[in-house]
Amino acid sequence: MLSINNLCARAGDRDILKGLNLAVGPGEVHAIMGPNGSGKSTLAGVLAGRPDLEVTGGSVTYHGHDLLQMNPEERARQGLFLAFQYPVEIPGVNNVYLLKAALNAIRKHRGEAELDAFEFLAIIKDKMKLMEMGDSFLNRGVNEGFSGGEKKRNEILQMAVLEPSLAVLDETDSGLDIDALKVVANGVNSLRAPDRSMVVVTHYQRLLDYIVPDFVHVLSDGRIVRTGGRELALELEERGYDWLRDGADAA
Amino acid sequence: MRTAAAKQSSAPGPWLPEWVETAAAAVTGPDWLAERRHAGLEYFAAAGFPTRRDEDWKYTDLKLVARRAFSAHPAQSLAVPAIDALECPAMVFANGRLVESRGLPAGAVVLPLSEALAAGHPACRELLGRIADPSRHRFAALATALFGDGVLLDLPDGMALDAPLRLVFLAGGAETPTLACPRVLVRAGARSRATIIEQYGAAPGEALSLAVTELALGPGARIDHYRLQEESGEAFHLGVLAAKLDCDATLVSHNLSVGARIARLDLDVELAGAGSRVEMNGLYVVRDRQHADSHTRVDHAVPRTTSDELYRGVLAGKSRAVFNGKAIVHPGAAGTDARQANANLLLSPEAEVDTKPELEIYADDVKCAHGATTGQLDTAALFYLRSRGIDEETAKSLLTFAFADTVLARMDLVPLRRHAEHLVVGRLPDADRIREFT
Repeated sequence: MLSINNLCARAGDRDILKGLNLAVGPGEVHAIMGPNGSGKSTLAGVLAGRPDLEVTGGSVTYHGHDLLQMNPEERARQGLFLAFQYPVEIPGVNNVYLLKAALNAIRKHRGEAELDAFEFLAIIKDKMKLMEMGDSFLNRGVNEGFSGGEKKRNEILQMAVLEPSLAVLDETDSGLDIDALKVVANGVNSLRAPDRSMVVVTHYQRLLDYIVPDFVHVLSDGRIVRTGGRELALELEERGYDWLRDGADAA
Repeated sequence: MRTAAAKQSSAPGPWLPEWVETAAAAVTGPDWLAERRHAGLEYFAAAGFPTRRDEDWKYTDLKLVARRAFSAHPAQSLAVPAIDALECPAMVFANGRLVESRGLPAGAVVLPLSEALAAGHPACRELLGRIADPSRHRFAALATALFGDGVLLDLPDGMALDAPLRLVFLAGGAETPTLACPRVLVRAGARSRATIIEQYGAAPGEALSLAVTELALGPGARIDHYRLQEESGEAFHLGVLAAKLDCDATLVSHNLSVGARIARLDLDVELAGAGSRVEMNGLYVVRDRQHADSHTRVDHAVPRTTSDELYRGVLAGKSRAVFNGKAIVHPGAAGTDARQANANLLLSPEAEVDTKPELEIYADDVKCAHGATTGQLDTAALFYLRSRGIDEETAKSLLTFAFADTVLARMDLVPLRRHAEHLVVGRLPDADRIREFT
C-alpha cells in the first residue's frame, strides 16, 4: 500500500529525514513517535506534498504509483489525507463548500458522479453527529474562529467525509483536552477499515490509549530507530526517548 | 484669451481647456450657484490638471484625461446594471440626465437637483459645494461648475427610510468622449436614518465622470452608504465623497472600485460633533492596465470621535493602485479612536501599489492604530486547500476571493454584498470554478 524507502528530505538548508524506511499494509495503523525535531511532522508533510519541503533522496510508492511525482491535489484525489497539526484558518472560504468541493474532486477522479447540495448534506449530517459538531460549523469560514479542539474535530470530519485510503494524522492530539481527545479518537476508530491505512504521528503515548496501533515506530534524527508493538509506546512513556536516541547514535 | 492658453496645455498657470469652457457655458441655475460655479472654475483654472509634482497626485497620472476633450451627450438608453434581489426606490441618470425614477419615498424630499434648485430648496444653497472643499479638491470644484443635474435627499428629523435609495449613474455610449457630473446632496436631519446606494455603471465608450457626493449628517443621524464603481474599462472616474457629521452621527461607508481605466476617489470625513463615528470600508480590484486611487481623510475635530477604516486591494496584470489614508486629530480632540488598515494582494509581478498612512496627532489621550501590508497569497492556506484535492489555480482564486471578501463581509445589505462578490469573482481567474464556494 505505502512503501517508503531510504527517504531523505530537507527544509531550507536543514536535512531532516535521513534515510527513512517504512512499509504500511492495507488496514494497518502505524504510530510514529519521537522527540521534538526528530522529523515526525516533516514525514507527514512530505507524504502530503508540502511544497516547502525538498525530497533529496529515496522513494515513496503508494498503491504502486510514485507518490513523490504527484502534486498535493493529485495525492488527495488518490485517497491520501493529511490531518494537519495546525489546521489553517481561511475566512471567506465556506467550510461546507470546501468539503463538498473536496469530495467531488475525489469522486470525479474515481469516475463517480458528483454530488449535489442535497445529497452532500445528507452525508455530512451523519458525520457531524459522529464528531459532535453543531450545524453552526457548516456555514463558517474554514476553521475561522474555531477553538483548537474544534479545528481538530473539523479535520477528522473532513477525513470521515473523504474516506481516504491512507490517512496521515499529524499530532492530532496536540492541544486537546481529554474529552475532545475521546471524540477525535472515536471518530478515527470508526473509520478503521480493512482497506484504510493510517499513519498516526504523535509525541505522547496518551493518544494511543484510544487509537490502538498495530505498530509503533520510534523516529530519531530522521530515521526509524526502533519498531515494535503497542508495548513500545508504553515503554517510551516510562523511559522517555533519550535511551533510544543514545542507542541510535551508538549504532 | 483662455482658448489660446488651452492650446499650450502643458504650460502651468491659469488656463481652462476649451471643452470645459463649453460645458461651463451650457449650465444654468440661480445667482448664488452661478457664483459658486464661477469660483469652482477659478479653483480649477488655478490648479490645472495635476502633475507628478502635486504631492496629492504623485502616483496617479492623468495625462490620458488631460489630452482628451469631453462633452455632454444626450441621454442614451443605457443598460442599468442589475442587482439581484434588490427591490427599492431608484433614480437612474444617463449622461447626467434623469431617465428613470421609481417608488420614491413619501415624506422625505427626494428630488432631481435641477428641480430642487429651480424651487429654491434651502438645503441646496446651504450645503451644495460647501462640504466637498473646492480648495482641496480641484475636480470637485470643476464638477460644481459643470454639473447639470443630480439628486437631493433631504431627510426630516427623526425620519427613517425603510428601504434603501438606489442612485444609478451611467456614462458613455457615444462616439466621442462623454462628460458626466453625477451629483448627490444629502441632508440628514437629527436622528434620521437612510441607506443610500450609488452605482456608477458601465457603458461602452470613453467617458469622464466627475462625481461629487456631499453628506451632512445631523445629530444622531445614521447613513449607510454603498458606492459601487463598475464603469467600463474606457472610463475615467474622478470622484469626491465628502461628509460632515454632527454629534453622535454615524456614517458607514462601503466603497467598491472595480471599473474604469483610471479611478480616483477622495473620501473626506469631518467628524465635527462629539461622539460621531465613521466606518470606512474599501475594496479595489484591478487588472490589465487599470489604475485605482483611494484617498481618504478623516478630521477628528472634537472630543470622543471614532474612525475605523479597512481598505484592501487586489491587483493583477500591469495594474496600479494607490492608497493614502490620512487621519488628523485636531487640538483638543481628546478621546479620539482612529483605526486604519490597508492590505494589498499582488497577483502579478508587474502590478504595483503605493500605500501610505498619514497620521497627524495634535491632541493627548487618543488611540490611533494603523498598518499597511502588501504581499502574495498565504502559502500555508494554499497548501491546505490543495491537500483537500482543490487544484492550485482554483485554490489561488479562492484565497484571493477570501482576501477581498473580508471587506465585503462588512456589508449589512445582503443583495449588495452578493452583487459586490459577483463583481469581484468575475474579475478573478477561474471565476466559474470558485463561484460555487462563495
